[in-house]
Amino acid sequence: MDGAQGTSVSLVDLHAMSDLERAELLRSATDPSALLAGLTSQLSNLTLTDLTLATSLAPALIGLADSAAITSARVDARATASNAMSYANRFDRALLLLEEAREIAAAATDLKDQARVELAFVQPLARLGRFSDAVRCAEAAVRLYQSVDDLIMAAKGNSNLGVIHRMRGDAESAIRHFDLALSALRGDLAVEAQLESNRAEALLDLARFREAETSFRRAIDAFSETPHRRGLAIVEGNLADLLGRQGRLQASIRHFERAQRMMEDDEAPGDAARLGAERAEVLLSVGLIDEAVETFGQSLKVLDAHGFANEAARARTGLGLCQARLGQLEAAEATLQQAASDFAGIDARSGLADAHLALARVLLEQGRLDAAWALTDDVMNGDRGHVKRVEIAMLRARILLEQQEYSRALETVDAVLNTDDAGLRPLTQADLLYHRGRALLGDGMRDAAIAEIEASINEIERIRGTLLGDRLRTAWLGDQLAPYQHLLALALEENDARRVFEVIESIKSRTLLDVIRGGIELADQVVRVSRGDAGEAHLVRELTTLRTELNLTFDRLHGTQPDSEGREALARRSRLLERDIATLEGRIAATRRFGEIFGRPIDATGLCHALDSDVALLEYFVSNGQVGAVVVRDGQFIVHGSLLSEAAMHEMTERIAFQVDRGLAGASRSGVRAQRLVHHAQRELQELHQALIQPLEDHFDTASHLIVAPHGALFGVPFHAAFDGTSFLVERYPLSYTPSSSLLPTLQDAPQSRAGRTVVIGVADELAPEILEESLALAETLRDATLLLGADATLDAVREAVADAGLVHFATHGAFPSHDPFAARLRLGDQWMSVRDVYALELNGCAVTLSACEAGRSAVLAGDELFGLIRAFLAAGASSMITSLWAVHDESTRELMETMYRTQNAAGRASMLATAQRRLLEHRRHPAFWAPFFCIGGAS
Amino acid sequence: MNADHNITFETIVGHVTGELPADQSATLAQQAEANASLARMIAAIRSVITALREPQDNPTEAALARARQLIDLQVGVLPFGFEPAGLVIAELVEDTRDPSSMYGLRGEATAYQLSFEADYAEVHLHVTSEAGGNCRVRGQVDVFEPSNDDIRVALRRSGREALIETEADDTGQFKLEVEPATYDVIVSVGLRTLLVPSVEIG
Repeated sequence: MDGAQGTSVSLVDLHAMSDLERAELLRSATDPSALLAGLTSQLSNLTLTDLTLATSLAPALIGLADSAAITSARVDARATASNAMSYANRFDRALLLLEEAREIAAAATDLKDQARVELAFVQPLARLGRFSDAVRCAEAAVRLYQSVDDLIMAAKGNSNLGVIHRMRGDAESAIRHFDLALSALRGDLAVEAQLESNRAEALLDLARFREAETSFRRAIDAFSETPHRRGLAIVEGNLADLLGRQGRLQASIRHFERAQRMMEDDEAPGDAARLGAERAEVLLSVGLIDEAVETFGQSLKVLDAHGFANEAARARTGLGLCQARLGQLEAAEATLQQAASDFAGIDARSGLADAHLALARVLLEQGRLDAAWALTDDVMNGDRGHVKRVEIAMLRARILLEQQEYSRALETVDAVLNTDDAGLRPLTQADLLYHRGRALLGDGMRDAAIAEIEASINEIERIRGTLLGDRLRTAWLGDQLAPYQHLLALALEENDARRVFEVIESIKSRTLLDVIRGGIELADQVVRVSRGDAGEAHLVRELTTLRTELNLTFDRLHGTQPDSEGREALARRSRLLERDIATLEGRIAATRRFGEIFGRPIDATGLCHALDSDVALLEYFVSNGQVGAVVVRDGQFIVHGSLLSEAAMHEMTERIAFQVDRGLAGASRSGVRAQRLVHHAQRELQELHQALIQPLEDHFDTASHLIVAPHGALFGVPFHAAFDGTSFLVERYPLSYTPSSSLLPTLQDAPQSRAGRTVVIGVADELAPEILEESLALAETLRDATLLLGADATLDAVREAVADAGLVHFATHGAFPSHDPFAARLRLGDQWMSVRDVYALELNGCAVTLSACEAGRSAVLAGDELFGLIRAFLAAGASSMITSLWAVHDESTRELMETMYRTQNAAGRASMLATAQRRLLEHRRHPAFWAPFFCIGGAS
Repeated sequence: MNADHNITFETIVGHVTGELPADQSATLAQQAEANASLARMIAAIRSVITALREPQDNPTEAALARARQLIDLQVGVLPFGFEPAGLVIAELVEDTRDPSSMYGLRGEATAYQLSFEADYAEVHLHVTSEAGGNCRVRGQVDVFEPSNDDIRVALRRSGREALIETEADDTGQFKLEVEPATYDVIVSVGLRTLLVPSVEIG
C-alpha cells in the first residue's frame, strides 16, 4: 500500500496502532493535515479496490481526524467513510456519519466542507429511495460549490443530480445534468466512464437504444483503462440489460456472465443482486421462466434486506410477470400491486408505469379488459406516457383483439409500426406483427393476415438464430409458439395438408435438429473445452465436483425401494444437483462463441424425396386442443385435423402406461389372472387404434413400412402395439419412429459405419441376471464383437470402444426420472453414464440398442423437444436407436434381443425388431413384455 | 392400529386366516391373552370373516350385528351407499414394495403397485408421488363375474371421517389424488362392499 502523503504510514498501520501510538503519530507529523489527507485518499481508493478492508479501517481514520481536531479532515474522513458504507450497502451507518459531518461543517462555516457533506448525502439517500431529500442535498452541493468557484465539484453534483432524476423516472432531466457534468469532467477516465454509463441508463429509459449502447460501450472502454473492476462490472451488467431489452438475448447473457464473474468476489451483495434481477429479466424474455423465478427470488431477498427500494420493486415487477406466465394470476396480481405501491412510495415514476403495465397484462389474462384498459390510460396520461407508448399500444391492441375491435386494434398497431419502425426491438416487432395479423384476420383480410403472421415468425426465427445454447433455443421457441399455432390453424381451415405439414415441421424438434447438425454447443462439450480463464476455471472445478456427487446419488438411488423414506430425499438432492449443474453449464457457455449452424426444417417436396416408395409417414400434431395427423404416402399429403381431444390423448397415454405397469407387476401370474391383464391392456390398445390409426388406415394400407412422428405425450405411446381387435399394428407393418420428419434425411445422411465393429456392453446383477446371458449370446451371434462385461465396462472403456463401432448394444439397468430428464442414465461397471456422458461420446453414425429400462423415455418440452437419452445418443452421432418406453422384463428382453439379432434383415433394424416382437408375442401375450422396444430411424 | 395395541389390521386378519407365519401368529395369540382390546378385535374379525365370507343368501341377525361391530371397530360408520351387510375384507396378493418384486426388471421402480383380492373382485392400486408431495392413485376394480353394477371407490384416512370418493368407469378404472397417509379403501360393487383396510399410500 502507498504511504500517506508525507509519511510512510498506511491505514492498515494506523488500524494496528494503540491510542498512544496514534497520538505520537500526530505529534511527530510535520503536517497533520497532509497526513490525514493522505490517509483519507487511501480510504477512498480502498473503497474501489477492497471494500471490506475499507469499511473496517474507516473508524481508525475518523478517530485520528477527531484527535487532530482539524475540521476539514474530520469532515473528509466521515464523508469518505460514508461513501465506503454506501458502497457496502450500509446506508443507515453512512447517514449517521454524514449527520456528524454536517454538524462539524456547519459549526465551522466552511462552505466547501458543507458542500462536500451535502454531496456525500446524495448516494445513501437515493439508494434508500428518499429521492426528494437526495435532490435537495445535491442541489445544495452544486450551489455551494459554484459559490466557491469549484466547477469540477459542481459538475460532480450535477452528475449526482442526474442519477437521482433518473432513479425517480425523469430521464430527460437526468440526461441534462449528465451532459453538464460531462462537459466539465472529460479527461478523468473513471469519472467519464461512470458518467457515460449513467447517461446511457437514462437514454435507455427513453428507449433511445442506439445512443444508450454507444454510451455504455464508451463507458466500458474508459473503465477498462482504469483499475475499477467493480465499475466495469456494473456497466457490463447495464449493457447486458440493454441488449436483453433489445432482444439481443445471447449477447445479453454473455455480458451478464462477464459482469457476474467480476462481481463474484465483490463485497457489495446488493449490486450483485441487482445484476441478478436484471439477468432474470432476460431469462424471462428467453422463456426460462422457472430459472427466472428462482433468480428473481434470490435477488429480492438481498435487495429487500439491503434497502434497495427501487431495484427491489423492479425485481418484484419481473417476478409478477413470471407468475403471470406460469398462470398464477392471483399471485401475479398481488406481487405487481406491491411493486406498484413500492415504486409509488419512492416516487419512481418510470418503475411505477412499468408495474402498472405489467398489472394490466395480468388483468387482460384474467379477462378484466376494462380494468386493464383503465391502467393503460393511467400510464398514458401520466408523465411516462410518451416513453411507454409502444408497450401501451401492444397492450391496447391485445385488449381490442379480445373485444373483437379489429379495426381499432389495427390502427393501434399501425400507429406504432409507422412511427417507431426503425427503433423497435425485434421482440416487440414480432409481437406487433402478430397482433397486426390477428387484427387483419378479424377484418377478413386473410392473405394479408397470413403474411403478417409469417413476418412475425421470421422475427422470432431471427432472434432464435442468435441464441447459441440448446436450452436457450428450446425455451425461446417453446415460449413463442402462438403465431406458429395460429398459422397451423389457418392451414387446417384450408385443408392444405402440405402447408400443415410444413408448419408442424417448423415447430417440431427444431433444436434437436440444430444439435444433430452440430450447430450449437452441448453441455458436456462446454466443460471439456476449458480455456483456462481464471473465472471459468473455478466454475469448471465446481461443475466437476457437482457431477461426481450426482453420480454417487444415482448409485444410492439404485435399488432403493419407491416408498422408502430416504428415496425422496435422494431424488430431491438429485434434482437440486441437476439444477445447479445446468446453471453452471449455462454460465460457462455464456461467454463462449460457437459456430451458428441451423438445421432447416424439411419442406413437403423434400420429404417426398426422403421417403422410400413403400413407406408411409404418420405425423401427429395438436391444434386448438385437438390431436390431428398428416399422412404422407406416395407423394400425397392427407390431413385429419381432429382425431381426438388433447385431454383424451393424455388420458389414453396414462391408461396404457397403467396397464403396462399392471402387466409387469403381475409377471408371475398365470391362467385366468394373467389373461385378465392381457385383456385390459388390449382394450386400451384398441382405443389407441380406433382413435389414432383406424381413421388414417385407408391412406397408408398399401405401404409396407410405417414411420411415426408422434407429438407431445404420444412420444410415450407404443403405436406398434395398437390393436385392431385381431392383430397388433406391428403384425402388419414394421414401424419406426422419428422425433420429426426433418430428422429423417439427417439420420439417413449420418456417416454410417455399419462396416465398423460391434460392441456389446453388459452390466448384469442379481436383479437382472439375464443381461449376462444376453450379452454372451449376442457376442456369439454378431461375431468378432468387442465384449465389455461387468466391472470392465467402465465409462472410459465404453468411450474408447464405441468410437469406431458400427453397432453398440447396451444391456444394463436404466433409469428415467420424469421430472429430471438430464438424470436419465445407464448403469456401467464403474459408474452411471448420464445424458451428459452420452453427449461426449463420438458415435460416428453407428446403430445403438439400449436394452435397459425406460431408456427411450423423454421429457417432451414445448415444440416437441425431447430431453433424455434419445436426444443424447442422436446428438452424439447415433444413426438409429432401438430403445424402450418403459421398465423392461429381464427374461423377455433377453429373448427378444436374441431373436432380433438372429434375424439379420436387409430391410433394416425396424424390420428386425418387428420380426422379433411378432415371435415374442406368440407366447408372451401381454404387451408389457413384447412391446417396450421401438426403433428410431432404421427404416432401411 | 388401535390405541390399546400397535398390531395392524392386516396382521390380525392374517392371523385369523392362517396366513401369518406360525411364529408371528403364536406371538400375537400370546399378546391377545394379555390385551383384552386386541382379543376382542381378533374375535370380532374372526366371527365376521366366518360369517360373511361364506356365501349366504340370508345372513343371520347375529352375523349382521357382528359385521356392524367390526365396522364400528375398524371402519367407523360406512358412508352412505356403502352397504355394510355385504362387507368383505380383501387380501393382499401383490406388493411391488417387496424388494423381491424388483427381481427381473432392468431399472428402478418409481411407482409402487398393490393388488388385493376378495372372492368376487380384485382391487389394483398404482401409486405415484407427485411433485407437490401428494400421491396419485390410479386403480382398477376387476369384478370376476360379468356385472353391470356401478363401482364406487372411497378412500378414508385413518382416524378421519371425511372421504375422498370417486366412481370407477366402465372398465373399473378410477383415479384419485391424496395426501400421503394410511387409508381404508372402500369399494362398493352394487350392494356388495369390499374393504381394504389400512393401506399405506405415499
